[in-house]
Amino acid sequence: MKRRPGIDVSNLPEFAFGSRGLIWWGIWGFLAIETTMLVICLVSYFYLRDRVADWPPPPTQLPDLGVPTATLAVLLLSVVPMHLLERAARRLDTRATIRWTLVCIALGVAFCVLRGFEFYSLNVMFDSNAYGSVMWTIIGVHSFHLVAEVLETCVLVSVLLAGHTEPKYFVDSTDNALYWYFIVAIWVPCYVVLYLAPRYL
Amino acid sequence: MKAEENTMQPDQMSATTSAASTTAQAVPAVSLIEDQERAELERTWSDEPGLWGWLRSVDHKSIGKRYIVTAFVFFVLGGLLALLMRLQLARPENTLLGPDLYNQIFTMHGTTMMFLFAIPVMEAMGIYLVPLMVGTRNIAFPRLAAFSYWIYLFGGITLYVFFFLNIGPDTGWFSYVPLAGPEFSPGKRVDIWSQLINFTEIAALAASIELIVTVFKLRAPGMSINRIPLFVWAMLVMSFMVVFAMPAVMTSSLFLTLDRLVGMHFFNPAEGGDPLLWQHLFWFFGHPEVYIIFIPALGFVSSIIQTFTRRPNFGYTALVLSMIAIGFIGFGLWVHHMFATGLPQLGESFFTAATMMIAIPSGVQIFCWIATLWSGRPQFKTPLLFVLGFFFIFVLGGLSGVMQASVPVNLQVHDTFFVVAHFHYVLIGGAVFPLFGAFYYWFPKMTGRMLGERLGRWNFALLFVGFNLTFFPMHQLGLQGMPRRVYTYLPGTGWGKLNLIATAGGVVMTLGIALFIVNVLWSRKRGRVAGDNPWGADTLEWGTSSPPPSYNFEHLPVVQGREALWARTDDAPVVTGLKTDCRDVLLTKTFDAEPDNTMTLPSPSIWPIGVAFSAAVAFIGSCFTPWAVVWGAIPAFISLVGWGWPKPKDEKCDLTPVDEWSEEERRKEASRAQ
Repeated sequence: MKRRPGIDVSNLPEFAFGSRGLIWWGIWGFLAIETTMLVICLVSYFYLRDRVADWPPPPTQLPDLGVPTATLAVLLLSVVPMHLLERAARRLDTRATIRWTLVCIALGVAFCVLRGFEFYSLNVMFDSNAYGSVMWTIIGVHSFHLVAEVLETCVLVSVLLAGHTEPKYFVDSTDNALYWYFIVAIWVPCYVVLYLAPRYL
Repeated sequence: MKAEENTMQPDQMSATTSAASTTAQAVPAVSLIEDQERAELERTWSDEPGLWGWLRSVDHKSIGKRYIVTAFVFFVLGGLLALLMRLQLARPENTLLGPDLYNQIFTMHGTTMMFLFAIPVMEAMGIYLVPLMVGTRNIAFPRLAAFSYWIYLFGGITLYVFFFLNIGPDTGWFSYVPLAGPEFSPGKRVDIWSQLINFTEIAALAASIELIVTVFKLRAPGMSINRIPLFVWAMLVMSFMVVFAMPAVMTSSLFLTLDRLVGMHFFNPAEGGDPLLWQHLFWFFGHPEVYIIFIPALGFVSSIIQTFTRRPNFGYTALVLSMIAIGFIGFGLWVHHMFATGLPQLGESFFTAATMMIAIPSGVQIFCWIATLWSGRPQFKTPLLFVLGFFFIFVLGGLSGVMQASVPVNLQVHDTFFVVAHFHYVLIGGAVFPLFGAFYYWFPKMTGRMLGERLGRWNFALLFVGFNLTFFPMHQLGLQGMPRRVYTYLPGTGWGKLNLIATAGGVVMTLGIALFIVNVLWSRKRGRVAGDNPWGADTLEWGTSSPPPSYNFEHLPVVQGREALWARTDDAPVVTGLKTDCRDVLLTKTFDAEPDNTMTLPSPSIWPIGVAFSAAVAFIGSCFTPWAVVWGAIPAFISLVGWGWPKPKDEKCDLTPVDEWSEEERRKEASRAQ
């Protein structure tokens, strides 16, 4: 039996960030799924809007802008510590990673609470009419991701706090950042459609 | 940059080869080392024995086989339901089934075949074959693959348990509102249907992500993008279609659930909703769905034709581009299911054009295969017979499909048996025939034994004759005006004779399937031993033993040409230096498949089944109360944490915690990993 020549891979890195790893691609896959789902929700929103003369259908009032805008502001603000977290994780800097993750979680809890109040600003119930149904569903779907993402971030920081600082957990933190950015970014068009478009379009 | 350093230079390669061949004494030592390596790989990758090991398995081959067997069981169940319908329709005013049971049965038949058989079995073939074909040790996210199977299994069991409790869905596999809405379908039947959608869509989406990432990152060195086998391309295109099509049905079934459960108004025209929204959303999924089932079949056909004509497929690039084109155009056809709903004519024209356009890439493929068969030396073994059957039936189905593109014809035959004939020609011809060919083709790889060839021929003949006998008369029945989904008809309609012929065909098909089951059961124990590569095929899965060991390949192969095994030279290099005592895999660059980095894949785990079970509780419970989402979410969260939480430290495989590294080490490793 003859031993065949080999391509030796024993010196390759044993972990890699971003598109060189597996999880990053997996996250992008799920982002594609979630984006499609939210886009379909938005398309349904316009489809239903197209059916009626006045939007929102009277006597429904327009949604308030205060709390929703505050939620959006906190969401957008959270991108800064998330970016710093990502950079710290890429440097394999445990303390900075934990610190910025905690800041992100604090902001995450803040916007989850604000989101709770946002439902009161809609001035419509989900079972009042189709407009109410689609409003509540879009915000509901986004909130589901929001809560899941904050919980996920809590789990990741718990892993680091428990002393598991193998490099793969830093890779996980950077991939988690991608999901966080998505949650923030996807809300911008949703905010425009739900709150601004009925006023100005 | 690191990868280039590690790629062996040609002079080094020949040095190694000559060293190995000149020192004859070294041979026993080498084979001893290889034995040890194999034993160690087996220890690392195999499942634990017993039920516990079985439940925790994350081996793509075990999961793939389970998935295939489960999907086949649902195929048989769906087929038996179809046989019941055929028996009911065999003569006018038959009383075998009442209208209510008939409604449940045709709904269960369609739902089973689409959601519990067709999509899952195609994903399952991918889960089993893709990692082998791209030359890696396991699928990209093995625990997700296990989760995908369990949630699929729980969904299927749920549907059938409720069916046997007389709570089977009864509004058709596409559950049109307002019939399926709260007003016209009180009770839980439709809720069960829309929850089943959740089960299968999650299973399919998870499987698709795994397949995409496996194809992108885990290909063997040398398998650059222009050398990916056609079957793998097919699975890749299918997976992308699932990613963009499934969310539509996920959203629409969410809307339907919300309408039914908490009184929302998406489809209620009285409160500003619109029933047509359902049809748009459903068919935005439903039409690509046809291609989700069909494209993997194209992969089977390409593999089988290449092997049994002993030549590379004619027009590799054309075949790949056609599949991608079908993937795109498939999203632009959905409105042709809705021509009868009175949409604007401009819109209808667009969809007419798109429906005709998709015949172009389909035609390109058929011509490429004909060219391959023409210029090759075809060996008419059972798999190739099924492919030839596919040509005949699918082309007929395609022709009646082009007819549907025309709005007047479409309106005329809408909701008649003509449509039933058409889509069975497309789906059974386009997917089931290639799938049976694939079963015959890959059975030796999965079990180590060949399926009986003589029984195979009978199996093919009965299916082919039975199929045409069943479905061809339906074209005529449809043109004569027989509507689909009626549980009976009057003698004066004159539909009796053709219906009787169709029922006779159904019986013949059943015999064909029964022969297949006999063949599998017999061959599994007593079939001819296959050996590694019984068909002399070219793709990598045939380069390892049959059935493959738990670690797939002793050394990951290096691919030297598009037809990997046919192009392999005697001194072909292999990958060395991958740890054998950890579940390590090699990640390569997405386009050129150059070695890039290694990682340790997750070990077996019970948590995927826990997450699947929690999700099942949430889904089934939410037929009854919205709070079930919360009850399911808590155990699901706990299981997900268990799934991802670090295991007790494994000295061999885990890297040292970063906190124990020196500053310099940290800087160096971080920069290598960017």
